[in-house]
Amino acid sequence: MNTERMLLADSVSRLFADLEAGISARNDDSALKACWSEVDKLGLLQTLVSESVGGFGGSWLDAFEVFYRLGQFAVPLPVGEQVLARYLLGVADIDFLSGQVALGLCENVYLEKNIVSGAWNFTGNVHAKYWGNEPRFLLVAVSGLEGQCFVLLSASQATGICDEPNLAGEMCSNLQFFLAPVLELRFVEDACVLLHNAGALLRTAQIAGALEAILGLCVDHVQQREQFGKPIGTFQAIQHQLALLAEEAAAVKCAAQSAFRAASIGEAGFEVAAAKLRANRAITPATSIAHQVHGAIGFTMEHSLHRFTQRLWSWRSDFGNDRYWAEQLGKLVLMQGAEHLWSNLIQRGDNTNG
Amino acid sequence: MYEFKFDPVEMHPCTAQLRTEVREFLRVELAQMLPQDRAKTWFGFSADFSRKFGARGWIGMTWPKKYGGQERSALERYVIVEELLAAGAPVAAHWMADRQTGELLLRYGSDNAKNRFLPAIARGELYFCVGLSEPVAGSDLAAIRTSAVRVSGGWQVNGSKIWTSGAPHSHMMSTLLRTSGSISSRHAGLSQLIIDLSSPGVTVRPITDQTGDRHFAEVFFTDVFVPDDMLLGNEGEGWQQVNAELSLERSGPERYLSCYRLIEEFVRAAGPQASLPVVTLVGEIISEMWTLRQMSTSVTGQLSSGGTPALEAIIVKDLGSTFEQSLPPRIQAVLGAEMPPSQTVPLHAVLNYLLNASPSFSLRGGTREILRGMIARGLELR
Ligand SMILES: Cc1cc2nc3c(=O)[nH]c(=O)nc-3n(C[C@H](O)[C@H](O)[C@H](O)COP(=O)(O)OP(=O)(O)OC[C@H]3O[C@@H](n4cnc5c(N)ncnc54)[C@H](O)[C@@H]3O)c2cc1C
Repeated sequence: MNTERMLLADSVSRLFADLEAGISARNDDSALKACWSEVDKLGLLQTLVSESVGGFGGSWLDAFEVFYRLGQFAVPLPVGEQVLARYLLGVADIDFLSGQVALGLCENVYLEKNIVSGAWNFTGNVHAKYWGNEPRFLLVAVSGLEGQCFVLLSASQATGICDEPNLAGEMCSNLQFFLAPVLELRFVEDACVLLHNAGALLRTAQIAGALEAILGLCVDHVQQREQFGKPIGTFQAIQHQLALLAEEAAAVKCAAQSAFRAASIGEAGFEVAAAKLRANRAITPATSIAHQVHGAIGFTMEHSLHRFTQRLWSWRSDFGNDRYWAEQLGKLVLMQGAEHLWSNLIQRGDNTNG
Repeated sequence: MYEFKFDPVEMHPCTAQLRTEVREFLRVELAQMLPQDRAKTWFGFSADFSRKFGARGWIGMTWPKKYGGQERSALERYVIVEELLAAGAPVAAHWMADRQTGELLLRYGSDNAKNRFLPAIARGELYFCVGLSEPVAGSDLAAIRTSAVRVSGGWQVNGSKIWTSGAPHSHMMSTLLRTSGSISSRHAGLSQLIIDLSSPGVTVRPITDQTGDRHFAEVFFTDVFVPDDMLLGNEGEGWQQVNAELSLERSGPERYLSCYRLIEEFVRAAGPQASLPVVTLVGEIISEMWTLRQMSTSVTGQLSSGGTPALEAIIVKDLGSTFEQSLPPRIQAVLGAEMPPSQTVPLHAVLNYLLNASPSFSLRGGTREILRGMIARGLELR
């Protein structure tokens, strides 16, 4: 890791640890608000925005350090989503001044161009994770008859909003739009894939961070909790369970780092698929072990374990669940055929251009 | 709290050239080899193959030139080994020496041992096996009983080893045995000797495994004389030496590629029109295999730049062997009507061999339970 990235990692760790302490002391909107303004002050939302427009000018490797820690500290704010939204605005060449911009996933979309004015109207549902009551912008990717495009919408144009917090109680909403004027629209080849893959990268890093965190919780717990006159961590059955948990955490961390590295070099569709799938598949064994070794205390609101396990369960479905990525990856490999299986796999791993 | 380190490794551009060369060599040499024979990977034996491979400079390639090596990097060796395994080359003859005994000799061997053995190993002509396990000492390796007592000019060895891979065709055995103390002194008093298996008093009795193969053996020693300069390292430090030897070799590509042949035959038989359960299983397998390769190359990269990713290496072995062991039943479970046996002859032959061979994957080189205990120690639970 270069020094700049190390500094970034350290200051992010410190910030998130403080925020975690603040939020667990006072879990209300004011704590979250304070938290958000700290994140903003540090400039984290600009991680992937180029320096020429006042951003941090970071690469995906820098983003990994931020996203991983979002998982490791179970940060209850859509920091990563906003980092990606700002990044994609740059890709789409859309000038964006200030305010919150959420990353949206849309369905049943109908884009209509006014023949006279040339302006676009947006009809459809947008699912987005955001926070706070500021005027909000939504960035979505749409695949239409004329190609794929990024569309910037104003949440205030929605005809209906329905809040649907995720499993971890994080704010998510469904917004309905009917012939809403779009703020910006840019055709970008593969816009939908870009957005979806960026989201999958984010979740993969968060899952890696959360797995490492629950491993730490488990190790602490089994060293302290005594039954039958000794710490439960001295029982071989418990030790082997934690070894398995460690293996899953290690595998996901490696997969995530590798996928971010690939993304920092170039097209990384294969690595994103492989890494998000690997991360998703770690979640059931890891969370089962973590809850089992914690006993009843881990099943309470008071204990922090659920902050991680609930997020993990929720993240598994986000930006492609197991079946989705397994199908994508399986099709890709089967299309390439057995003769190219090995050489493609190696080429993907050894790619050093850049 | 332990923090895992898996920084992706940068493969030097020169490895690409090497990879092309070894692929071409294997394509020609193995052209006639059947998939079910390739499935044996590092259990397949061919003296002819090892000699030709050595002639290319690909055995002991990281060793000093004066001992027949090429002074290439650990990552270059990694490239060679993974290509051998993926192709299913019959590497058993030179496998142990190239992987571990060579390093051991370089570090602890006498001048005579180094000069006598290393160049011959590198030529692919001299084979080593590794004698650790005994009938009473499996996982509890410190319980070994084979012993050596001092005699004029060397040692006299009595006892026996079992499950020694490659013993039936090997010339030499690097042997862990007791040179002082009693069985109750455990780790203290163990040493490593190189024993010439053609010495008087050595009997090798091959054991047939459940695949029908006779790759391992029981080896008996009755008053076997071993000269002084066949001692490796220091007397009494065998335990530390053996552990260093084993820890170096936990994370190589052989830890997850044992069923590579099955994956390739499965992909071939499935084809681009495969049903959804087949497609998703392929996706899952590739995701796991790619992850394991990233882990394995990362550990090799760290080792070669002086790091000590000990816990990471053990994790690669346990995850890797669990992965490869899971493949035959997972693939068997999804074979369907669209893949009738008549169209999938090589797939079924490979599947049957690997179903049969797979129980050994989590035994050889330290069992799953022993590895998990080591991981727990790394987490400071023991
Ligand atoms: C194909 C193959 C090749 C081999 N090649 C070699 C070789 O070249 N050289 C060599 O020296 N050996 C070799 N071995 C032997 C191998 O190292 C041993 O099989 C292994 O160390 C286990 O010993 P064991 O078979 O005696 O089983 P045991 O030690 O009797 O173990 C039986 C079961 O008990 C479990 N167990 C044992 N102790 C504990 C514990 N403390 N806690 C929990 N569970 C425990 C084990 O994990 C295992 O599941 C080979 C084995 C195989 C299968």
